[in-house]
Amino acid sequence: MLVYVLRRLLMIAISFVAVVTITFYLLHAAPGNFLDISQLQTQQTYGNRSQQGGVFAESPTVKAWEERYGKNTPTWKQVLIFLRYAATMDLGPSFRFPTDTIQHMIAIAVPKTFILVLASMAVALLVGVPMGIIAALRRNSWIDRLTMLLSMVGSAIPSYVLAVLAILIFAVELHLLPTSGWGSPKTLVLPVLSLALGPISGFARYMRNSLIGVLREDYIRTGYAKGGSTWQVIFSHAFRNSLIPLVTVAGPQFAFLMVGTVWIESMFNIPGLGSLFGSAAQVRDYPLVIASSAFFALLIMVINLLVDISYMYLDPRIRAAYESHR
Amino acid sequence: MSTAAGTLNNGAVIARTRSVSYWGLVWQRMRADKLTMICLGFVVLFILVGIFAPWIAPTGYNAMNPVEARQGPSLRHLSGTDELGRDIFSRLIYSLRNAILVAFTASISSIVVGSLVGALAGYQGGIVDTLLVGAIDIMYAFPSFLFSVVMVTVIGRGIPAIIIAIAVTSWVGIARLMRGQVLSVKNRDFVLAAQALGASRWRILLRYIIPNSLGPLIVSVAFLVPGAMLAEGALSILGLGIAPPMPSWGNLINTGSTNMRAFPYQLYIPAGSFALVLLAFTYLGDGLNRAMNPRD
Repeated sequence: MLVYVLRRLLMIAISFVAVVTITFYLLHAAPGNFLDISQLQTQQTYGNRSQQGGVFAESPTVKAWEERYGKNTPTWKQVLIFLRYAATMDLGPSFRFPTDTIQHMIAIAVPKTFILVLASMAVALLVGVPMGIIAALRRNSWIDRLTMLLSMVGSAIPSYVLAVLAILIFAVELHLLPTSGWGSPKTLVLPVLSLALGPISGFARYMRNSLIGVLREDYIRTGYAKGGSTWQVIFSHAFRNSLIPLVTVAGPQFAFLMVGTVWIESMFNIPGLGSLFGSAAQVRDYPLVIASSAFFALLIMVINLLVDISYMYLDPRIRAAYESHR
Repeated sequence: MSTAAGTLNNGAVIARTRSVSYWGLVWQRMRADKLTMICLGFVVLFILVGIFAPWIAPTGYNAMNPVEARQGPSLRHLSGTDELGRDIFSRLIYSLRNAILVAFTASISSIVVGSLVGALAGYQGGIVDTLLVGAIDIMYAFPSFLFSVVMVTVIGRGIPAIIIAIAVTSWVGIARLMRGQVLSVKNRDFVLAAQALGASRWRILLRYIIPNSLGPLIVSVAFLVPGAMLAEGALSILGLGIAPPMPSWGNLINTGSTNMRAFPYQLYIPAGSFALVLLAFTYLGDGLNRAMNPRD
């Protein structure tokens, strides 16, 4: 188990370094000096609005980059410099906000993203799991059909399209909820709803299929034979047995939700990690793009690892299978 | 199995079976599934519209007519016009064309790269396998959409750049699958026969192993296309997709959402049609999956 965790941690570290390296090399391989390009482009897009905040003052941008990474430093050395700073969470200023530090921006943004993701996860579990259970118990009833329809829609349509439709219906047409913003619980409803529909459909589909499988097992028949009531059998035998693999379904959903915040946060103007990354990418704020994507990816990879560890911890069979494989 | 029944003199019914190939069987199962067939029809229609977009679209994608700006849907403009008086219906057709172009090119390139890398890893084994699996795992661990975004910020927003940004992340899953397939195929008798006949290693890989490993990959390929469309839309939502004035669903949705209070049709129509296209492609993949791996 420990070996497995260490190997995964090593994998994450290599993956992290590899992606940072690729990014730096791509930056330098792109035609022209990327510092000049970023300025040219900001002048084009922000030229007339430069008073409003999209300020890329000429010299501070270049200066800040050169101060950190040195002039004409070879690319591999810049990667190392970045990694050294990243290890101490000292990420320096970004192009667009030369007076702020990136680690400070990330620290402000992360709790919002976590609230959003955890709330969506909770909603998805609370709605998706019971829905799947009912669908499995009442196969081919209307609720089963509804569940399958929803799971098809939820798996095919991305959250950004759902968000748009949700805004149109609930905010623009019905005036029930605000279109965007952050702060009151009301502003959280639409983003959480549009983020959660994908995982809801995933959980419902998984729960339904696994419960249908479990209900055919011998120990279920034994449970009935011993005189257990339907609910007793379902809860103490069937449900508990299909619960553990739910963790493996939840893992990818976590990553899915985290990535989903990139566009959901920018659509709803939520100042979280996703919109920090998204808006940095839009204006090619390279230091912020590199730092926030690296941080974001690291977060997702660590969550994935935690999910896998908890899976092994929860299910002795998996642990045994892994240990005998070695 | 299609059977033709005949009656013998003594009255016993015998069944004459015509043998059906594997793909014939899959096709039969798919044909029995109405919804899948409807989706197949839609997908074929979408592809044809995408290919023949310049002949089908009533106007060019950037034909402005300020006199008719911001008109709601009518017979003249089926989906209304935008703030520059461009026909949104035409722009949707061109978005479909771009989405199909990006999705299919990205999928085909990731299939080619993924299956070659995966097959090579599985077939060669040893140090090649270790290195390639390492590379695959590194790519697999990293959240793919973030990588696509970073790629696009760095290499630009042209259609080729977007195709690369999407393909660069999606070959990994194919490579993993392909490696597993090859591992199970490479010890089969026909490979041994090819070796005995003196075929070179490359020839065995390209002519015997890869073609015989492709079958189970079809399903994941069917999901690759809507996945790539989704990724392209997601990039456009962030303002990083295909550069204007070339339309794409993501940027139509984006523009629509800035005007949604006054002109909701500019948002309903692109968002709804995009949802429809994704549903058709995804459900077709689902149906194919059920036809190829029937559970009951």
